[in-house]
Amino acid sequence: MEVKEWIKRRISEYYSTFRFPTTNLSKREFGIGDFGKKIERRHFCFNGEDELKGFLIKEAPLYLSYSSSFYNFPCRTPMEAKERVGTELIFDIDSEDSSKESLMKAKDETLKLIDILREDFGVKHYTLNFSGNRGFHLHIHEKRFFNLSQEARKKLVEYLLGELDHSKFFSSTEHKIIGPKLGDRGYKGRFAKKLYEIVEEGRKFKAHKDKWRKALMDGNYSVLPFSFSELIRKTEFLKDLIMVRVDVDGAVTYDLSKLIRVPNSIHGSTGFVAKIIREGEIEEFNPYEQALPFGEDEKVLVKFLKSVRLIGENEVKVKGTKERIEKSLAFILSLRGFCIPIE
Amino acid sequence: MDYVEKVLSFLFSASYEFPEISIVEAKKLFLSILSEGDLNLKELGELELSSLKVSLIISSLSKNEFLRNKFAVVLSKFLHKKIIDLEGKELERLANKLGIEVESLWMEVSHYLEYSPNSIDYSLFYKDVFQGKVRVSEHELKRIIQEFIYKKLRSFMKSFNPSVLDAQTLNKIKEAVSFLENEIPKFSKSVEIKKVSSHPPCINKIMKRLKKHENLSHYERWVLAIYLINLGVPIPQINELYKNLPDYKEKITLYQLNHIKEKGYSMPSCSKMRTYGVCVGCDTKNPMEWVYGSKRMDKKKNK
Repeated sequence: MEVKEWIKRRISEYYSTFRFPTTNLSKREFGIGDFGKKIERRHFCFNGEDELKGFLIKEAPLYLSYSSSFYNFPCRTPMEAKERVGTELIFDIDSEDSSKESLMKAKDETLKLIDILREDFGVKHYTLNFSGNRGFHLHIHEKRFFNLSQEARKKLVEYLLGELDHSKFFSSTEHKIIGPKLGDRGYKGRFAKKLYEIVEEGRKFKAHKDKWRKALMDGNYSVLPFSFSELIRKTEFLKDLIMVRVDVDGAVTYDLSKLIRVPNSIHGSTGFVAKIIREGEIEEFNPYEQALPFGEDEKVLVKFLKSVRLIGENEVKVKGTKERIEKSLAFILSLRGFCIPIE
Repeated sequence: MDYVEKVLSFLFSASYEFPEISIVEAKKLFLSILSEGDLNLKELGELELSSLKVSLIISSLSKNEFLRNKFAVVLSKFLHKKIIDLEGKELERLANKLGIEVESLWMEVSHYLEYSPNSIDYSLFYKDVFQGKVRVSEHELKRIIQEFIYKKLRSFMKSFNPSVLDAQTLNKIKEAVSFLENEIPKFSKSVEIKKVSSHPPCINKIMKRLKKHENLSHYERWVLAIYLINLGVPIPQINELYKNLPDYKEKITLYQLNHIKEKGYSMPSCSKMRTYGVCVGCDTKNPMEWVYGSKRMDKKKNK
């Protein structure tokens, strides 16, 4: 059996037990990809889970994506004919490469994003999934965001990525300088809290500690012996300490006709599943353990086409040797051209 | 029902029957908008309401972006003036009635993102943001209501289906559209600056929006004026360009352009432009660097 056909059969097998993980299936546009192209055909739509499953078993696509938007007529073309009725809010956190360090960084970025979305935006309902390659996708299931325009989504991305001018936290009249105080929220509040922390620890501003404290309590900075511009200059360093700067791919969030990998579907380049990650499990998430498409028990005899050392193993699989290995591993290595199944 | 609610509920209602005179009145109304840049409605009777609705349909049927945007900008500004004295619960009641969720001046963040003006002064960075709510002042809430009305008008124009009108009314309104489109003054769409072969991307973006008659933010108008004045473009030429703005007022524009010239403001740095929300990112430190660079390139070409 040719390797491509073996891969397609395994994908078909995977989708025979597949459950569509999110809502609004019939309102989404789907796209599929094959060897070499992530989205080869799009504008598919399905009436329900059974119809989708039947399609996936038959086509066995290497990549399965769906629209972040919901449409009245998801199959129609051009895009305007689909009649968009809403768009899920989605964030894509990618990393530079597939190293362990990069994945750790992407996890940190994701946790940072979840924190700010909860704290500032009051987000409670979301699905987090592994992208299947080097990062994570966060799908927010809250209707209040569905109708946001592209422009409004850009403002949200700007809040996560952008550069602020801390001088705008302050304002001055002839007799008074007003600035951030401890009770403030958002970036202004984070600025005040960080400043307070620094003053309390005595790292800076020792000379007027009590005055800084007082200013931070009521937001009246006139108690300090500084002019407006001196104050701005002295507090500029704080800007870098409070900026969240979550490393998200903005276009994924604001492009209303974007197709994104379906959670729990297979990623045809890596062979991993775009696995949904439950609350509190991201820190420990390891794709080689949690994102494998098949169970541990099944084994497949393969022949190695290249020498390869597997992650976590000392021994090198030498080119030309034959070995019975886990089906998931055989699937992943076959996709990447390291081995071929021989039975 | 207060003034704004009355106007909006009539404009967006499914009623499309109006006396013929309202088409004539709508033409007059539009002509005064084009000549004075303002809406002058003293009464709000049935005739005024129906002529406003016909004006909205005229804007919807017209393909002229200036006409469409002019009406949306002028009407939303006019209605903003009508709520300027509203305060406290009355103001919040109106906002909630319109669909902007706000309580004790804490606004639902998705509504804030959607309806707050595109100005750095409304950037979320500088607001109290907590648990999906944004703290706004009454002044800001009124301005957000204005922007909400503007967006609703534009959305109506985009989705208006002429088949709701009977054939006779539709023909008469189409005639009014053609008449008004001929009344639109001709504008200068570009400024010829012989010394410069290309403008920085941030300026190009502002100019592009200006040519499309979009309503530029205060900061966009400000930096464009400083840029052009610094390049030595004469004030009357810049004034001609600013006529593309849907809320253009000659007296105010000329005053501000002359003020900038007298004060001799220099071009803001790119980091300042970033904080104004107008930087598009081009790896220079000051937009004028781009210009000097292009001048140098021009010299090389000429050699």
